[in-house]
Amino acid sequence: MTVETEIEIMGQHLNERIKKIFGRSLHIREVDAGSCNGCEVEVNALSNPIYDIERFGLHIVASPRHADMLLVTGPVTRNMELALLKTYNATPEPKLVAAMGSCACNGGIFGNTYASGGGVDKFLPVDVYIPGCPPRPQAVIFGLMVALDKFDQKIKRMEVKA
Amino acid sequence: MNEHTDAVRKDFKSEILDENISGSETYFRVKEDAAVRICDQLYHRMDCALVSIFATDRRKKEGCFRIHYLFSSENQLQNDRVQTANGFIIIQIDIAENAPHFHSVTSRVPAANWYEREIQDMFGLIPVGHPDPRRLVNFEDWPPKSYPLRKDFDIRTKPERVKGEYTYRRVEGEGVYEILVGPVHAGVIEPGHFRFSVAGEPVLNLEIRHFYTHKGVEKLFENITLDKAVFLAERISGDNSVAHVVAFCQAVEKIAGVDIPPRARYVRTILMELERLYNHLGDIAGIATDVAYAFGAAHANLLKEEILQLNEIVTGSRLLRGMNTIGGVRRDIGDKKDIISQKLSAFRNDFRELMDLLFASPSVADRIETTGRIYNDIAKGLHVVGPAARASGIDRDTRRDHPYAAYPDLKFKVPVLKAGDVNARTRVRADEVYESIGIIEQALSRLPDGDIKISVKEIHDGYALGYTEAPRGETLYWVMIENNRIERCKVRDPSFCNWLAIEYAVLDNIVPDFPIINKSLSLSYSGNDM
Amino acid sequence: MFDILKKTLKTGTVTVNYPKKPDIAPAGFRGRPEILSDKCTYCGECASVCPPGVIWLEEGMSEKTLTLSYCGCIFCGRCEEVCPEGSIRLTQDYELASKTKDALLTSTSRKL
Repeated sequence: MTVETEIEIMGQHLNERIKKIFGRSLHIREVDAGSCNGCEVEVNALSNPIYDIERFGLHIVASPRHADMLLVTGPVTRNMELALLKTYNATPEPKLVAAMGSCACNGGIFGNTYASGGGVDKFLPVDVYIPGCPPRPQAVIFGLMVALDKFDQKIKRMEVKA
Repeated sequence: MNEHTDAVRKDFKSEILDENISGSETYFRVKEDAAVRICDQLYHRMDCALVSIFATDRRKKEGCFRIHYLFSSENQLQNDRVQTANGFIIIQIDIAENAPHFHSVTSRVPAANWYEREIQDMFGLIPVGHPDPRRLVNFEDWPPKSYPLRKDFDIRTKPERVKGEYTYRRVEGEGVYEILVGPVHAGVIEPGHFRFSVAGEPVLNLEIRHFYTHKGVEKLFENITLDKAVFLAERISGDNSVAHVVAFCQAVEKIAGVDIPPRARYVRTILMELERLYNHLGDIAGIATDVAYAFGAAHANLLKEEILQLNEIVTGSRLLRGMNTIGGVRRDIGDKKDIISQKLSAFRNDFRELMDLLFASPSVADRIETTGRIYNDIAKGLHVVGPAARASGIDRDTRRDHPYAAYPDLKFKVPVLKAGDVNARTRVRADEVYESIGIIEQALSRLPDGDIKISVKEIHDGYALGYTEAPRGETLYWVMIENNRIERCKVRDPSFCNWLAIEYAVLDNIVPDFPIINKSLSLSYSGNDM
Repeated sequence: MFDILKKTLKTGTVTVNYPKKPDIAPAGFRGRPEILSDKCTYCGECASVCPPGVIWLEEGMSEKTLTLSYCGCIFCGRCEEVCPEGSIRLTQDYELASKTKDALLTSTSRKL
């Protein structure tokens, strides 16, 4: 067994344990790493009476120290890079990272420039990608459920050969 | 003709090198050392507001940098109608590359503060005599002699991080201590750093530090094609996307010399007012949350959500994105007329009931009255815009003063209050909600038939201003096009003006009132930092 | 107090039952773009106008491939607008969350 496969198996075990621990409830810290504020509108909408994510045991908390998951938006700007890493390090293990919105997924329209980092996964390990510009609240709820393995992801790689 | 441009022509005859009029914009290229005097005169004697200062790198074509001072020239209202002579005066000076400095006007015109520091960071032109010459956009780890908006700076470079230090203003004395907040906040909001100096609870001084979300937008504009730039403009300040994209499109349409079809003008107006509705509801919900009026917050959020869902039905995007393009709009909303008017009439009743309850609650009144005052002279001096200005007795609204889209055809009032506190700002927003509903209803009933866009293919070289009244206030785009590409695009979000006011608004208030004051000013971080 | 109770009772329950009950986005929603591979002529028009640049056309020796990534897609619908064959369109699908970037790729290819 090579070292790589060993690490992979260990990673899988760890992942399963994390999901077990988080089974019932998840505390989320939202980190804006340079988004346009569009994603924040939708994250705020998650707590309104219509979507009310507290009913799933999902709480948006005030500090990374209380959080199990970082919900990161924005392409990670040069000026936010350090703050994002500090927030990640302040979050206790085990932890999940969700990249919300197209910018967080791969930089979106802001791309990879002198000021924009081009996506969260260049800086942190990402557990779930939630595309959308911004994703509607239902799409975010779906993404969080996928991250927790409560739902299977629907999308899979499509390759059509003619 | 405009009295202000005539006065400039007369008083500074020997200083003016060149004059150029295009539409409502009058450009005066003047001698470098005269700029401060002209700005001073325009601002203090003629009461013209300084709406922006920006630079362009013209080294390749004209061998110099150019700085543009943009003033809005407005005449007195007569019978609540605008005089047609309103326009913009742009004073330009040339700066040689080997002498990269210019005279600061900040000590005469306080609103110039951040613009001059921005030019210093982005172009490396130094404002001589600036009272606060610290860095603004680039952080202390940004290497010296590297200026992102100069043409020889490649957008893909990733400058190394250097060691540096940023000095904050210190307030010292017995019992004075500092509270540091941010950039990652406790709530779901954007990043920024706040540093309070307090003695007990009252705030003695607040220093804000922004540009954490600086994404290099203005540089990016110069590196993408025009049709892609439309979508970038939509994403500068996420919840003001329509106001931004319409301002951008209007500037480009002006350069191209096209008139968009009347139906497109009306559709744009409806979209802009829908945007105002959900933004104002969001602000009212935020204020209700911060004064712990949970009932009001839940209902205001519910109403905001109703508008967002309506947006999704009408445009396919909750934030009204993807609707505008150069030359008009991309989708017709004619078949959605009924659902919009139906939803809005129910919305109006619900909103009225909620506002009656909110303003009747003594616990709300206690928190918002006299809190976070911005006095009229401070608001004028810093060029505060939007609802925050109108709550401080400044009767300005771009929709009326520099009409665009379908606003010249529609009737609406501009609510103005004098108190300048959180209460006044909340009430101005509440009144504007009713006006917005009225505007949408008028626009729907008068929606002209015809095309929704015209094709704009070749755009000849030129420059123009585009402006809108976003929910947060006056939004400006100055676009320059060369060879069908954007040579320079200056974006001025309303928050870039209003952030300066918060440092005054919190003075003598207690720290727990800061979130309410912040919310009541409704400031965008992303629009400010770009 | 009485007014607040009245308003609360009048409003009733507003919470939606998603995800237990599926929620279908309204017609005209800007969701997942779909490539209809039988119609695509590999002209590359969509790739050249895509604002975030998440559509690529690869022309190899033996085949042409058009790839679209939902990762970074801003759902503007420019691809749909410019496609001369109508072979790319936005759908009402929004449940796109994925644990890998790979699953967010969709591609169509044809042998030359």
